[in-house]
Order: sequence, then C-alpha cells, then structure tokens
Amino acid sequence: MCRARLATIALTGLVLLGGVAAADQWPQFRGPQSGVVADDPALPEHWSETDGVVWKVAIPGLGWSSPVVWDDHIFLTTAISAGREVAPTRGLYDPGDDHGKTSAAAPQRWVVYDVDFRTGRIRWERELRDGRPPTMRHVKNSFASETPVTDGERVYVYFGATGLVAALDRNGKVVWVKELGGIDGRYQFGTGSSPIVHQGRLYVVNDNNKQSFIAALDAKTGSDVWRVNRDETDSWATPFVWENDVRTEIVTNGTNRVRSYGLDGTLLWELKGMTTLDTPTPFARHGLLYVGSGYPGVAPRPVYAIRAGASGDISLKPDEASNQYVAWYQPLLGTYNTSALVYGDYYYTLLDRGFLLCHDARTGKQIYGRQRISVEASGFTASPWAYNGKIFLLSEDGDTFVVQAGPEFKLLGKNSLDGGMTLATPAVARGSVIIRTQSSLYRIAKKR
Amino acid sequence: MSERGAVARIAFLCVASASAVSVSAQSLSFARVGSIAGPADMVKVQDRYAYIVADKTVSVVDISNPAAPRREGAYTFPDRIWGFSVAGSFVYVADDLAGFGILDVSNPAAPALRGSFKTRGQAHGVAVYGTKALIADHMAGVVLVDASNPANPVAVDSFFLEGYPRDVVARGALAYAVDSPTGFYVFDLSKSGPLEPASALQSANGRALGVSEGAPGANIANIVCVAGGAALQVFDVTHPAAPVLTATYRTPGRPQRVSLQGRLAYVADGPAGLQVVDLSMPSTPRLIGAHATSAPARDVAIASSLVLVVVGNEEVLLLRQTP
Repeated sequence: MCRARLATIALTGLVLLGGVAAADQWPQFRGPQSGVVADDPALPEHWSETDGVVWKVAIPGLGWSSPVVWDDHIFLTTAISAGREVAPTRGLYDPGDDHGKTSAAAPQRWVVYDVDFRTGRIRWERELRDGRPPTMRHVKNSFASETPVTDGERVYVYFGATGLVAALDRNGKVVWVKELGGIDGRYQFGTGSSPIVHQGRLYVVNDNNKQSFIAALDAKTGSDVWRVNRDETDSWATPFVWENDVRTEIVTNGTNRVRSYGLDGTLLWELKGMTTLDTPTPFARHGLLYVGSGYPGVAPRPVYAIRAGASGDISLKPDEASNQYVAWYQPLLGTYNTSALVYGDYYYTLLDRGFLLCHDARTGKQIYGRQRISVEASGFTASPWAYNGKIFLLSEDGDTFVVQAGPEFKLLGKNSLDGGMTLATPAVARGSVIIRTQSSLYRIAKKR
Repeated sequence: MSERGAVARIAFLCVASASAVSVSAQSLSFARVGSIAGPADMVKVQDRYAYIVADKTVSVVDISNPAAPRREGAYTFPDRIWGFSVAGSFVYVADDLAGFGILDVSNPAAPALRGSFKTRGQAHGVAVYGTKALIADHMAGVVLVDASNPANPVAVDSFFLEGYPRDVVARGALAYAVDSPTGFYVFDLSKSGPLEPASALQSANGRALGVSEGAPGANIANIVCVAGGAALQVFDVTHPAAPVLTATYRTPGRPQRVSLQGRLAYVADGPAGLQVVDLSMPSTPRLIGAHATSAPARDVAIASSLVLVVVGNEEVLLLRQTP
C-alpha cells in the first residue's frame, strides 16, 4: 500500500512538472499523458503475430475496454454472454432503420481480470454481476467498454450497462460496490465513458435519458462526495482531470456542452457547439485543453483548444474562431471515436475512416491535410499513441501503422496481429505494448 | 452489351421526355391501373420492366400490361441493397457491406450475378456511365469502378467525401453525389486522371437522402434534385464547375426519393404520398399534382405515362397520369 502511494505521488509529480511520465504504469485510459509515452529505445516499433509477442492470452466475451497496468498487474474487463450475440462489424456504416441498437441475446457475466505482466497468466478473475443488461448497445459497442482505472492500491471498474461501479484490491477482493443505475441513453447505443481517479476520488459520468450526472465518489468507500446533474442524454467520452497553472478541474465532453467542474463539483465553465455522439476524451498539452467531437454525418465537427482560467459560458459567437479562452477552433476536425494526440508541437487527428491530419498544436494552423493511411484498413477506433518520434495508429483489423512524427507525413510500416477486430486503445508500460483484440490480450516487446 | 444498354436507355429517355413535356402544367391527376405486391423498398423502370428491390432481393417485373404485372425472376444478394441502377441488360447494385454487384438481367426470368467486389465500406448508391460505375461508399467516399468486364469489376480510383456518402447518380458523363450532412459534388467521368470533383457545394442542407437525375427538358436548365429531410433541393447544373442551388422547396410531406422527367419532379413524399413539382422556373417550384397513398410513399419511377410508387413496404402502385 505504501509502495503504491509512493508510486502515485511520484507519477503525479511527473505530471505536474509537465514532463512525459515514465511509462512504468499505465493507470487509465490513454495512460498518464494522453497517449504520449517517454522515449525509450527498449520500446517495440515492429511486431507481428510471430515476432515480438512475449505472450498472448485468450480473453473470453466481448469488451472494448482498454487494459491498464500497475507494476506487474494488467487489469481488464469483459462481458461474457451465455448465448450468441450479434457480431460487431468493422468500419463506419449505417446499421439500418434501428440505427444498430441491439439488445443482449442472453444473460451476461461482467468479469474483471488481473493478468500477470510477466507471464500472461490470469492471476485472478472476479465476476461482479450476472444477468441481462437493462440497457441496449450499438451493434459495434460492447457491454464492457469502460476502461478500468487504478491508483495502485485499488482497481476501479465501471460497467455503465448495469450502472455498477466497484473497487477491488490488487488481490481481487471486492472493497466496495455501488449502484449508479444502468439507464439507456437517447440513442440506446450503450455506454463507454471510463472512470478516472484523482486524489482519493473516483469520478464517473453517467449520461442517460432520465437524469444524467457526474459523481465524485470516495475512492476508499464508494460513498458519494458530490453528485451534479447534467443536461445531457448520451456521451461516451471519458472525463479528464486538467491540472493547469490556475487550478485543477474535471472536464467532460457532451453533446449540449463541454463542461468543466471544480473539485467540489462547481461548474467552472461551459462551451456549446459540440456535435451529437461525443466520444473523444479531452486532454491537455502546452497549457491548452483540447476537446472535440465529430460524428461524420453532421456538421460542424469541432475541435477547440481552450486556455486555463475560464469561467462562465465561453462559447464562440457566430463567425468567431477564437475568444479570450478559446485559443483556436477548427469546425471540421473532430473525430467520431478516436481521441486526438498532441506529440511535440503537433496536434494529430486520426479520422475513423483512415486518414491522419496534422495541425500546429498551439495555433490550430494546418501542417498537412488528410493523408490516407492505407486503402485496406477498415477503420480506426483506438486512439493513437506515440514514442520515439513515431506515431502508432491501430486499425480495427489489428494492424498498427507506424507514422513518422513531425510536419511531413511518412508511413514507416505496418505491424499486424491476428487477434480479430480491435477497438481498444493499447497500454504502453514497462517497455511493452499491451494490445487487446476481440479475442486476445498481447504483450509486445523488443527481443532482448 | 453496354452499347445496347446505352441505346435502350437513350430511347427510353427520349420517350419519357417527350411524354413529360406534353403534360399540362396545372392539374395532374392519377388513376390507379395496377399494383405489384410487396415487399418493396425501391423501384426503377427500363423499357417494359420494373426492377424492384426489397431488402436483399432484386425482382424483375414485366409491366407491359400495367393492369396485370407479371413477376419474371429475382435474385437475392448477400446484404441489404441501399441503391441500384439499371443500364442495358445489367442491374448495378450497392449491396451494403457486401459491396458492389452486377446482375445480368438479359434473361428476366433468371437474373444471374455476373461480377462483384467488396468495397472498403458500406456501398450505399451506384451510378453508371458507359462501362464505368461510381459507387457511394461510407468509408471510401465515391469509388470509380471499371466495369468493362462485368465478370471482374475493378476499383480504379476513389475520392473521399467529408460526410457519409448517401447517393450518386449519373447523366451522361456527369455524375452527382450527395453526402450527409451537406455535401453536393459533381464529377466529370469523361475526364482522365485522378477522380476529383468538378465542383463541390456544402449546401445540400443536411439530411439529403437521395439524388435523382434531371432528364434534359425543353427550354429549361439541367436540374438535379436532392430529396431529404423535409425539403426538395433544386440545383442548376448547367455549369458543372459552378452548380447553383436555385430553390429549397418544402413539400407537404417528407421527400424520400425523387425522379425527374423533363421539367417535372415526381416526389415520393412520405406520408404525403406522391407529389409532383413543376420546375419550369427552377427558382420557384410549384406543386401541380398529387396522389394520396395508403402508406408512406418511399420511391418513385416514371415510365412514359406510368408512374410507379413504392407504398410503405406493401406494394408498388402503378398509376396512369392524366392528362
């Protein structure tokens, strides 16, 4: 426990210094630095099913949640059906008159795994719930799409489909369980917003078509610290803890508003103008907060870069591209599922349909426009990550395309796996890339 | 084959255009002369045959006696058909995630698949110009296909559309595509080199769901209509490099699809049934005829004085237009 606390403090310290955290731990969705990993020559840059795979372990069920890593523990979640569910399909597509909303075909078991980082052995598994989910899901979603989060002491899991949030210790013992309610959103596409943990509190967004809210829970006990209602009906974006020069805030994406809350739940500022179906997770770099959304069937598909210290409504007026707190705005740069990446001076946009764009992270000025990554790729849902001057783009086919970072687009290679459809954003920790496919969990590392 | 198809198409257009031009401007009325039992989603007509799509299946129906349509044959594709085009003895199909298919209907009693290929994403619409096909594909945008060998169609180029590609049609060498939410694109397929639009407008006003070609009519500009949302949008495409949105016309219902003959737009107007809009003045469309249907009108096709309307999922109604 003490060691875990020390590690947390050390990690937080690195974040506060504004540097790139050493990738010893990967405690949350997209890691401690929103996809950016400290350079390390030991990290793998090439791999395949037969090259660089330290181990591969089958994971039952269907879960698009990402793995998280703390020391030699890899935590991940899944929903295991007792029957045969509708299989997800790759790419972006119009699912028809029902818009793809799908009921579970059979009861599910919601399970947490702890996988041994060194061997791939499943150290423990804990079933937290079984039964039919009270909610539906999009045919491409899963009933376990929320990435767990850990502070090293406990791992916190949230299954939005059931409304269950729980804390487990590192031995798999359930510390507490809380019911937040599993309620459909407006579109009945299921859930996906992951919990985050910060200074002893767990933050959970539960947007639905009855009463949406963000809750701050005591990480030790699960008791409510505060709960604030939200005027939203759907969102899949993970909230972001923005520790900036002015204060620490909890930023949430949303169809009606981007909202920032103080650590006491007070609404600090809000911003109108997002699209429907908000999935990308906000993140910060260079003193700016980046938030966007971009369902391809609507416009605008905005991206905003926001300065710290805002209050009230900071929405742009018609024909404005910036204001006191909006440093820059791009009306058609938003992505549907992927979150963007700022690496060095550049803001990289991975469009779901297989293009990479590059903008100046500080000004929003375009560096290069749409560059097709591959004519063969069926789509991209996993968010990009970067190290060693390279950007990694994982397609839904399980192919990771490696692109040179910087102002010129250059495709360097492709690393393919055979684990099936791949939507989860990988973890990068301890010299390894941990990739979750539909059927398997891989640990990829350089040969030593 | 393609030459024969082109000749048949030209002949059909000439007949249809001549018929439409003779129509009185003020009071169109329609009389039911027959129907084809559903299910049905979309309909097109060429010569004496109606081609009806229901979910995954294309059916060929002889309508030479409209009072007694006769089903000839059918073919079922692997996936839901979102759009199709008929040219000569082939039906070109946008078959959802299965991609693109070419159906040989030279023997209407036994349609046979001649060729297909998997597009990158979901095929939503298809247009044909000679031996070329243009596919509206959700992932790739619009895909140009060399269909000179129907047994082996090959994608040769593509152009990405910002939104979701919804439909594509061709008139001669010019092809028109719409995406959702706002894009309207013109492509000149006679040009060599990379597939790029001659023009693109971001004014299709959101929920465009269909584009239909405007057959050249007497003394009017070339017109393309976009049906979608609660409006019919009228584009003057006389100058392909500079199309102009001339009108956004609110019909009584919700336009689903549209078919143009001369200066008239026949609109499958959802709950408002069939609506006929006069586009003689493209900037001021006028409603000049209507026919109520028992269920929402979903598609419409014109064959000389016959109008075929898909009604709900129940039937295809055959109407005789008067005068």
